[in-house]
Amino acid sequence: MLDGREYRITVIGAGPAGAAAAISAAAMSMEVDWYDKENRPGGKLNDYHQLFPDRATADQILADFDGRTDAIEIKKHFGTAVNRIETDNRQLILLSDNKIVGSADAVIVATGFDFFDARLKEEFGYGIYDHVITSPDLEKILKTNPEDLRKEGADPVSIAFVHCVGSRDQQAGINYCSRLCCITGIRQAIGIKELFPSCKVVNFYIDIRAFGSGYEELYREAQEKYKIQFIRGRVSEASENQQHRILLKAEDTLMARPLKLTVDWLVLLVGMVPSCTQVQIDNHQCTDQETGFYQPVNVFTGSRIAGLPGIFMAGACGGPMSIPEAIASGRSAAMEAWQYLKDR
Amino acid sequence: MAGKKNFGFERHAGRQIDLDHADNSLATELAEVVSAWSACISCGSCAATCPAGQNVGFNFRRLHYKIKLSLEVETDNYPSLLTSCLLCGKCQLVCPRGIPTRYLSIQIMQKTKHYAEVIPPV
Amino acid sequence: MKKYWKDYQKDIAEDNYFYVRSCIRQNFFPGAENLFIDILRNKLGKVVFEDADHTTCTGIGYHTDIVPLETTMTVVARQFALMKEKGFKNLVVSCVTSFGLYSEILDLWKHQPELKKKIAGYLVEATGRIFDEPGNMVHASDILYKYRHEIAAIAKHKLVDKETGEPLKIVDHIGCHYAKTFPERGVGGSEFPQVLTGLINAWGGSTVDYPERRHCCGFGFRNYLVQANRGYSISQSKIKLESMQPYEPDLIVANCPGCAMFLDRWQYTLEETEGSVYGPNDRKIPVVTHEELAGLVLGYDPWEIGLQTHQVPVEEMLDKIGIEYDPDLKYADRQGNLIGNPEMINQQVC
Repeated sequence: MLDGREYRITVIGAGPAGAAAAISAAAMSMEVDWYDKENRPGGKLNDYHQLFPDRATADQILADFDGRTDAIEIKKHFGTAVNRIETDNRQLILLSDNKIVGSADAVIVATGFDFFDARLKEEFGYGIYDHVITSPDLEKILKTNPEDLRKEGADPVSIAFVHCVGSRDQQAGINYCSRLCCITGIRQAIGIKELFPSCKVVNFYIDIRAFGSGYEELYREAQEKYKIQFIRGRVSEASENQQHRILLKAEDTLMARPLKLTVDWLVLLVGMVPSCTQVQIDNHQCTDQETGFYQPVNVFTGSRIAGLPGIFMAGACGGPMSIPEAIASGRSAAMEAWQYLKDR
Repeated sequence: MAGKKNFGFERHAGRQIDLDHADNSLATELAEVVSAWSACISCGSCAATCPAGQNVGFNFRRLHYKIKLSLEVETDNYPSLLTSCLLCGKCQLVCPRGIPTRYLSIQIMQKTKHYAEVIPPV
Repeated sequence: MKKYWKDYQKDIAEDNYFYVRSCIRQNFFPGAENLFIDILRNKLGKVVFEDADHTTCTGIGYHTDIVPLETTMTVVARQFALMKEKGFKNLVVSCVTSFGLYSEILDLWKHQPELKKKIAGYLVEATGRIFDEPGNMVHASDILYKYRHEIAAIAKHKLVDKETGEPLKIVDHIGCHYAKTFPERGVGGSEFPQVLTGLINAWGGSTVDYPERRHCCGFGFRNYLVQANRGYSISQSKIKLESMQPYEPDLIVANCPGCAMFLDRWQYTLEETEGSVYGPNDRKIPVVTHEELAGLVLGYDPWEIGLQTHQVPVEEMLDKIGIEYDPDLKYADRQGNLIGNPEMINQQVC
């Protein structure tokens, strides 16, 4: 039995990684203070409809977290954005808008990520054309009111997904791959086909990166069972016609010919970028200069944030990560924090 | 009279693939009988190993991909292209998606009008 | 429509302009540049200087692989030298391709200072001149954009149908070299450019946002200059015209002389070769430049500003706005003597 009774730990962020970290730390009997800028836990999960690869609902996972965090001693401070940590000897002082809100022996930063601002890819017309939406937009529609996808009562005739929007894109200043957008697009495309079986669904991809357990199988199901068309080529321009449908230009790179397609909705599968509510730690530069995500002291062996004793990172604040990965990372950070406090 | 003058040059026919107005009836029909065909990832294994493709301009991957995009359906030339196919079945052995490509080849021949006139369907 | 791209703002000098003309604009639309200068000097009260020693930028030669880049850069450096000698810092470029070329050269020099030094050496050697880079460099349409509200305040006409009061439906076409190479140098960037939309909206018209709005007009220089290649050029214009046709536009306005030329002339050619016209009521769509559009709202005589040199007749558009003109003087010289109708224009083809 790991006994952390003497240790006071703070977890910043109440998404999957933060929840897993808080639960694990509390299970080790540590005194846990749990912060989130929002008034409720769950983070982005609150806006998700289904998860991949098994298409469990996000609400199931949320309910599971709620049950476990309620059953255990965790002090919740929701609605407080900790945005600064000052190190004072062995104490870590937590500040929200320059006001001290608490202190801790160790901190786990689990501030998550933001979605890429699709307006920056001007050629897609996001924010200009009403029928160009992002994957998180579609997720909210699927969760709350899928009927919104109909137009004047009629099922959509065609919908296209564009992969790699704000991912693997030097022009957007993002050279890394967000990894999860491919499988999100596949899962959302299936969701559309289930709602509107006669709708033509086309995914425009550069490479399909179905890396996770069960992802490739879902990709194949999308092709074979749902007859979703995958076209290798990136949409280069979206424009609107008089019927407010979206005209797409892409190349079918397998045919080496330009291609056009008109759709009722264009869904931009947006990548993951560092959260705008990252925590500043003293005056340290603790994020990667290139990507902006937190850097671990060692990518193989340690989740302690580079150069900082007592501060650990968990989840997508360190880079694009799936929910199971974020949960595992939250648990692992709690374990490392315990070890650090025991040994110091 | 308008519409007749010659200025010494000709306008180009478009090269753009028009997915809005594609007649995909053949593709749909084939996908129904060869369901795994939809799972093709265009890896090119079938074309790489094809004995016919070593010597003549026959590319099986390209041919069935064109059907998927409904390209050149109007010229109805798939069977004539497929006459190069030896039906040896090597393509089927190497397909990572397990697509019965030999059967696909036969189905393309059978479902194409011109060919059906020459050899009645089995 | 939500507009996020208004964020592309550019610094446009207020006064004291050194104006460089366009080879093709003054040939295709001979009234346009004088009109621009007149508007600036006499309507807006600005100082505009033109140098008689100014030459071509060699853009056409450069884009057709005839003039080597270093020669082009030396010629451009000479224009900058003329501006320095006359004590001006604000360069206003008439031609979109010149504007793109100047921008490209300045960018090359920024990244390769040794290249700039080399060109400065060539210029001294050849002409004894020295130059400074412009303090502010804009395209002529940028100036009209900057003063669009001032022009609206003194305008005689609005871009509306005088019978119905409805705004005219106007297609804006931005030359590729205006902002596609350097989006930050164009008002509104390159995907949703604001420079001509701003004029149209300020003067009462409405902009047509049609799908192929960003497509190149097809000029392409080398793709036009050889007769046998022109099919390539006209194919591009046709893509645009077909795409704008359902919107029934009253007018096309372009800020690039090449675009205005080809969107105008190719309509005639498409009618003659294929029998196709793309405007409402089986008519072709008139094409004007940004200066001409300003001239029309300011009440200049259409024949004074050279609208008779356009292939597509403009009379129906003028009637729609309510701009007065004398039909008998369309092909008259400045003294009012008739000089004869152009042979190639079949007046029945409208």
